[in-house]
Amino acid sequence: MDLPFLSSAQKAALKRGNIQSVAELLLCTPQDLGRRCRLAPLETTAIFNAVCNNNRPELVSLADRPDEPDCCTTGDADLDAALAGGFRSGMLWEVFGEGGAGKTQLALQQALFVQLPVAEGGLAGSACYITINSSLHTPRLLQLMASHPLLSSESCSLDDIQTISSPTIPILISILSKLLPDLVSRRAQNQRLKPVKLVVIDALADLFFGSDKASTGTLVERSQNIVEIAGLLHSLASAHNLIVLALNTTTDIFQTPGDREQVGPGDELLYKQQSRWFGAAASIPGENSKEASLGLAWANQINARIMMSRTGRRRFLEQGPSSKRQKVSETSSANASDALQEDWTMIRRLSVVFSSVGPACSVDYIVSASGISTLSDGDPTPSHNAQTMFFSQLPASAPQAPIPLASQLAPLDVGSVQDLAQSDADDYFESYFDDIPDEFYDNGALGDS
Amino acid sequence: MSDNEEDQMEVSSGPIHVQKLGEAGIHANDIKKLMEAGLYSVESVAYTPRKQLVAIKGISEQKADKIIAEAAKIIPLGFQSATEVHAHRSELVHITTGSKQLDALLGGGIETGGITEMFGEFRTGKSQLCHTLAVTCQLPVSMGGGEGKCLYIDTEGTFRPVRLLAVAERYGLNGEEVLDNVAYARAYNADHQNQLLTTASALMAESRFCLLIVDSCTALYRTEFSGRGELSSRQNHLGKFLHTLQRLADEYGIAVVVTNQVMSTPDAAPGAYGNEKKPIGGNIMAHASTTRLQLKKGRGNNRTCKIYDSPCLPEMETTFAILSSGIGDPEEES
Repeated sequence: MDLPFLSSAQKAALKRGNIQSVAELLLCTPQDLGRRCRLAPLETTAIFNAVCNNNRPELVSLADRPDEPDCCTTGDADLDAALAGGFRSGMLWEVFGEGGAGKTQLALQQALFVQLPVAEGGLAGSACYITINSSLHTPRLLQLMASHPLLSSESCSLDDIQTISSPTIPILISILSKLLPDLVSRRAQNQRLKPVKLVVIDALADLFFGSDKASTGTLVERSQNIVEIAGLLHSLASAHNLIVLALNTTTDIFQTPGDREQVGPGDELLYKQQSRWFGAAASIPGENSKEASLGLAWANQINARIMMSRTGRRRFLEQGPSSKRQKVSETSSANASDALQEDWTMIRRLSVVFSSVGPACSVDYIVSASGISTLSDGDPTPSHNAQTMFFSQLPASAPQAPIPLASQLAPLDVGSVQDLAQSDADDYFESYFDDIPDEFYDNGALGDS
Repeated sequence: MSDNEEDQMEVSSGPIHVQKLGEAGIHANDIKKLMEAGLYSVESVAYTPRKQLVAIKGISEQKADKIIAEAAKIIPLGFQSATEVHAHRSELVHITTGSKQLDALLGGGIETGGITEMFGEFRTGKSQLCHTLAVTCQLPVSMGGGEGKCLYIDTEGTFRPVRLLAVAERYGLNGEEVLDNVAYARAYNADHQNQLLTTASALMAESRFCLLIVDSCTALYRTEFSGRGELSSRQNHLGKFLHTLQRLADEYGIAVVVTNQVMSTPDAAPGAYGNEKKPIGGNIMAHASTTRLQLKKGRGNNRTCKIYDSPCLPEMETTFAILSSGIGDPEEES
């Protein structure tokens, strides 16, 4: 450390506190510095002032900033549009959803797409996949590489995905503070290796599995851990321009009778009433029955939150081999519904709950051998064109502006094949509307009152 | 990661016994305490949260710190590339279910190193599949087995050794040997069920096991905890249990098969969100299991198995049959 403007006594004091660089000095609070170097408050202030005066931060005009590519495609144009261009680097993204919604699928797919050259929408980078309980599913990675039209074994390889398992919080913190920065700088120095551009944590909430009864003490400790981890992730993301993708699990939302009470203009808003705006999406009925876990401490740390969920809707997709169709006609009626269900693909739903780079919106998607693909018969932006509405996903409904529900339902999406087989379709849709929870209509009330 | 470390990792495949910590200066009494708490390998010690170590009787905070530091020295922490993981993964064996169609659906059989959950109504073949697996896991690898013993935790009292003998006969195995290789334990309450896993890790440290069956995983929870008031403590307890199962699967490379009961959802809105039978255990169960299989009744002896959730298998279904000699393929319809 070369600081000519400090007196030798001050330098000796810093040496005593084992402060080796200007950055380390500036990142300490004055109190900490005083304690580490055993200095009086006045002296620490003097050091700070001297260092700050000689290291003035310069304001940079936006025009001077290097124009680097910073969006990574997801491999699907509609999904990219929903995320406002794809996964943007420098941000902490959260993807949450119930078990089997496709969170890991999205993460695996992203670990491959980040390797694509910039011309093809990738970042020509490598991925770092941190697992908590599970281990990396490499067969699925190979399958994605083989079956996705945009991926090939030339453009991406398993060599460029690094993985590590981190079953406890101290291990994760030591990975994020030591091992990962080492890996990033090592790969950045070596020209032949792709730089790390994506960090995935699968799944963060597993670290906080309930080992204790929830009490103020354990919750405070949990929040401290969350903030520490998120702080490390943020500094990594901004220092190296990485995409950080943290997967999260869900908890159920319980409706208690008290919840439905109207909130008067002067009343204090309960957390529960506010959390539905950032904890879960509510673009279709039933989607808001689960919310992201880890609470407000975590929600405040993330830049974008994406919700993935399974719906009960299925749709017939014209891609199965024709032999399957024959099997259906040949089997007896008792087995027909089972066999039918096999051919109907489950529709899942992805909603951007909030994002610092784009509006909230929703798309329907399916998971197939070639990964996640949206149902490509519409665009994810809100549209009131009845023609596209007929086939496509529901329009993105911002909770503030409920759209007449009749226009949201795509007639091709049936709730369940079995239901349709047994009951008249019209009755079915009527009961469907009757069962929409009241708060779906009430969503506007909060904004108005 | 340096080359040196990589070599070390390859050599040290398989768990390192906790006695190794003795060489690093940990007192033998403390090692004994760790073993009593179910931590039989250095990996498990290194991956145990500090809070849990301190909770073990006779281990102070200072001791816990020292133990963790020593364990971390033995278990190097470093990144692996996916290529290495893939090479390691291709060595994983799959345990045949006895039915060719079912094996094909599962990509070769029940995967080791993960938790496979089977749920379905009564009479859908959950316990029968468990009985068959308890025998097929003893087969040599060339025949689709895992060449290891089986540990069977029974909570419903449905274990029937006679069924094992019938399956053994089909594969031409010596019935007595087959029964000797199955360690059976009956769990009577949820705490007991959790406690059994501590004993289980002791057994696994001693001899080669390749399958752990819990039939059924949630039955005791369903009866012991009732209502929303106890929901949070139930889920906590279940979460701990499943976490330990996952730890055992990772450490010893065993397959864990758990069965689960179902509930019907009368209050769920018909339509957009499910009206079929749902597995119990909530989100904790859903997130913990690697592969979830839904079993449904079919005609006669036939049953349908559907992949409900899997990281690498598509949503598909197939039929299998329950025969007198265990699980098999359905007979061709004329």
